[in-house]
Amino acid sequence: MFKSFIKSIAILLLFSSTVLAQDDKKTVRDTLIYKQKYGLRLGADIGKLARTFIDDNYTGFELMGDYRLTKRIYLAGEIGNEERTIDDEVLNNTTKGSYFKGGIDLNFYRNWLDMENMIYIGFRGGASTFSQTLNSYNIYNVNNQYWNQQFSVEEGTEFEGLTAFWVEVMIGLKAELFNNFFAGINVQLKGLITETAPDNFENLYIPGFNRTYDSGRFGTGFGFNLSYLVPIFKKDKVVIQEKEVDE
Amino acid sequence: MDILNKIKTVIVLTLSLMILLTVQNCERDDICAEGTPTTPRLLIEFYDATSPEDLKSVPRLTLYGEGLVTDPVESSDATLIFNSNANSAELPLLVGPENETTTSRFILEQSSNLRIDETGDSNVDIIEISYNSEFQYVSRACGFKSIFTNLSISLDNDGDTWISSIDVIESTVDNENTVHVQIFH
Repeated sequence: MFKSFIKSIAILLLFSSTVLAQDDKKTVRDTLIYKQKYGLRLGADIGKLARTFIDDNYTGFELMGDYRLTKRIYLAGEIGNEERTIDDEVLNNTTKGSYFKGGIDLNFYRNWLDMENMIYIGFRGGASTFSQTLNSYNIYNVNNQYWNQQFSVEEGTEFEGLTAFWVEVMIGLKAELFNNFFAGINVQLKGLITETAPDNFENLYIPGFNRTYDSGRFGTGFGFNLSYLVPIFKKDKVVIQEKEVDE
Repeated sequence: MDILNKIKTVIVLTLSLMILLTVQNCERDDICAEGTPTTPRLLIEFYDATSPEDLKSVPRLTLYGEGLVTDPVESSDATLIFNSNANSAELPLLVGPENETTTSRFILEQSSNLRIDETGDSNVDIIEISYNSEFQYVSRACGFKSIFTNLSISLDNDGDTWISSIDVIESTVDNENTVHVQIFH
């Protein structure tokens, strides 16, 4: 009985000594290397495509692309074509034209391990050439009740060779849904720099810039796109982890 | 980490700016404000023929567009002035096609109380205003307005006119800030 007691104490001490021995550990650096894909990502704006089917007054598409320069910096651009009719109480106007936007995207999202998602801020310069057709308009006259006459002009006037330049800041994200296939959304704030406006009229809509405002030079927009990454080369992403190991 | 925080602040600021701009723009741009100068009316004033510097009220004037009403006996939408002493008037002009001469005719009936009370005859004069309409862009909410150029006015001579002469001061009617026509009587 006594012997067995001694034995159990001895075993207990033995175990506890090993428990104490675990405190003698050291942190070391462990280097992990992940392959990062670099290449050309090409895609299209699905939002504009959907709107083309839903909205009778809108037809448009946009192709987008980006090319990864460094770990965080991407060269990015969009090219598109839009036709938009504004129809309200006072006028009916159709804008048609193409646009190009170019700039960079800065990814500031710290990806886990080998993931390559983006939360980015983008900077663009934009240019558009377009035409406007004023299909019809009414003469705004608060006193037109007097002669019981609302004067309307039905013959169309086309204004060609219009241009506009703007800068824009966008915030968005791109997530890899499955291998090399990405979905993204973004919102854009635009500032108009210069435009050629038609004589005795104005640019109500600018392809790529979207609708204009009388009260300022700002515009807004949003995009929803799907894209595919064509990998061209791979670069190592080195991750240094601190790890505890036995001495 | 510091840079990340800065970027986050930039995003929040940009987003709130976007929302602010959108809200503001909706309010300002899409409704044609009441005070916006759109198609102007023709402003006339009545002066004394014997002392051309002085305004002189027309006694018991009734003023309306020709064809809108005949011998009105009560005030209506068609009577711009009904049976009152007036030294000025604002005439809405008929808008016509551009590059064509449009005319608006107005009836100015002096002493209309005599006709209404059936105690005598009033004196009816008719003026014919000729002009070209010209359309000018105002804004996306108001669209286009019309101004009037090459204004000229003639008086139908019925042998007994109370109006002695008409002076066109502004041959272009593009606002309501000044008087365009003086009528002497």
